[in-house]
Amino acid sequence: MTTLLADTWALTQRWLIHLRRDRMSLMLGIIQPLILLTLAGPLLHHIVRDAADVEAVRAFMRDRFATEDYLTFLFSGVAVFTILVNSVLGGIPIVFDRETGFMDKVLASPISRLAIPASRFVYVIIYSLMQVAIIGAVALALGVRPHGSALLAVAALVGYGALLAAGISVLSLALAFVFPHHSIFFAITGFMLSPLLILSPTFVARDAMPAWMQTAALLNPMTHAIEPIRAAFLGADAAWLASAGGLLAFDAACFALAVVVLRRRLD
Amino acid sequence: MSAVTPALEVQELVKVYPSGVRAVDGVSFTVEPGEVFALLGPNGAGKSTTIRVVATLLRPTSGAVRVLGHDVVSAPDQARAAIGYVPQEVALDRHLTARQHLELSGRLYRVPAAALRARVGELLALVELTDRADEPVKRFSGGMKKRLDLACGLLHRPRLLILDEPTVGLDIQTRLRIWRFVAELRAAGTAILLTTHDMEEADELADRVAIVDHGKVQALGTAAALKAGFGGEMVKADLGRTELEPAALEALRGLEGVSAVERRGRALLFTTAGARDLAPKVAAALEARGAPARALAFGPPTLDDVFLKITGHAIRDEA
Repeated sequence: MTTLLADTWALTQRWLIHLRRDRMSLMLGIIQPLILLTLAGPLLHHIVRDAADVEAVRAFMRDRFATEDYLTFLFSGVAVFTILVNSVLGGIPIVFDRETGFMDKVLASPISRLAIPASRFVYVIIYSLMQVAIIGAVALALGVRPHGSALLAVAALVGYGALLAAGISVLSLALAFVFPHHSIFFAITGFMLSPLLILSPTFVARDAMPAWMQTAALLNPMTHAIEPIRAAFLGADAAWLASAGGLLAFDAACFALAVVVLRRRLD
Repeated sequence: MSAVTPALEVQELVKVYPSGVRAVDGVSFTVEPGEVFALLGPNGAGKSTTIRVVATLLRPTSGAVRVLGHDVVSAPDQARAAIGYVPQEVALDRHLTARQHLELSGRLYRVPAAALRARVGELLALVELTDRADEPVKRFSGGMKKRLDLACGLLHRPRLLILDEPTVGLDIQTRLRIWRFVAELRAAGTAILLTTHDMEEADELADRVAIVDHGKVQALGTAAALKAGFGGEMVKADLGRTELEPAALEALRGLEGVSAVERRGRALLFTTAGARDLAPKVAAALEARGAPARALAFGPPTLDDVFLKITGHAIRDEA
């Protein structure tokens, strides 16, 4: 176990050197979430304000969104989306390492194989939290406030965010070993992002979706990170254990798939 | 079996890819500690596949591979720890400095932190990169990158060093430097397995050479033994662009002392028992046929000649 931790840290240090050399991508990565937060938020505010029957819309919000504070509602979704994007793209350096032959040098060494996905996972979490902290600062300025305990909200964000990132980044890593070239990797991951975003409760609560979309959202791992994190920010109750269990099952399935893929790569 | 555990034993190795390609078809050889062993063959002969199996990057279809007695399938981590692997293409991370690369290599092989610092310094000095140690490698020349890549493979002091085409595409200076490193490592007792399709390199560096073609070892021995087994000496006449009539070729075949003649590119190759005596006769005969030789060479066969005789084709044909 200590060997695995040492091995993971050895590889994580390399990703942190990348981060120091390339701070630009960290900043570029928060542009999209900030756009979602600053444009989608006012859009809905506008609809509510101009509605013929403001009280009816508010009642609808309370009923289906469990809050009238759409911006805080949206922030929890955007924070999870940021983690999702970083996790989906988590395999990219591995794609390039395979193309350059660097991966062969790593695989020819006795370092724990598990340290490769583990180091990407640790890095995705560190990287995402840095971005979410910046987005959080902007959100705070826009008026987003945790309705309950701020500490609990942050703990939920880190915990459920990590559960989501684990499965997705392992999946991304497996894809990195399957596709022979980075252009295919980018095409596949690019096409995955928008359906995951739309079929999640990022913008609209699951209760306000058409029935078929609610089913789709239930199958989307993002949903099970957003809902408990959102509840923690809104000071509401959620299916804490069911969400954690769902994410853990998803993580286990991703891990099993990755093991099969990596085994076959050696033949 | 010798008293000393061989650095590498490859027994009846077969590798069939999922596509059905039989890349390695029953290869066996042994590399002793302190020995430089070259796999010589054209691209696609099975050299790289063999090396990838030894480096634990591919699973063998059948046969056994042991590194210092550790089986690569049942004890891969022990085998890995004993191997230094330097791939053909330089594989460095453009964002990392030379020192960071060496530190990472040390951690990949779990070199104790206490020893790491000193070894990084030693290796930077060995590959003459001490004064550039803290620059990102994206600013390095091709030769500097290759030297650093080699140093990365040496950091954990492997007992078996694997060099896949160590000097392909490098300038002469870097090539000679790498040859010097290999000689120094060998003197220090490191076993080295290298692949090459460069005859001169195999001749210069290797204690023993295995000629590999179509996934099989076609001949194995010291370069001197392989050449001695060739059965004769060579006279080579470079004809430039001049064409030779078939009748003229027949007449040359009849010269006294010639056991075989063949055309290889622009050159005519004569096999003979006495090259020194035959050379002036070849020159005169070509002159008389109106196809004077632009250059003439004679002497013992090169590994090129041996390779051609054994495989029936020149190494560059497929390279």
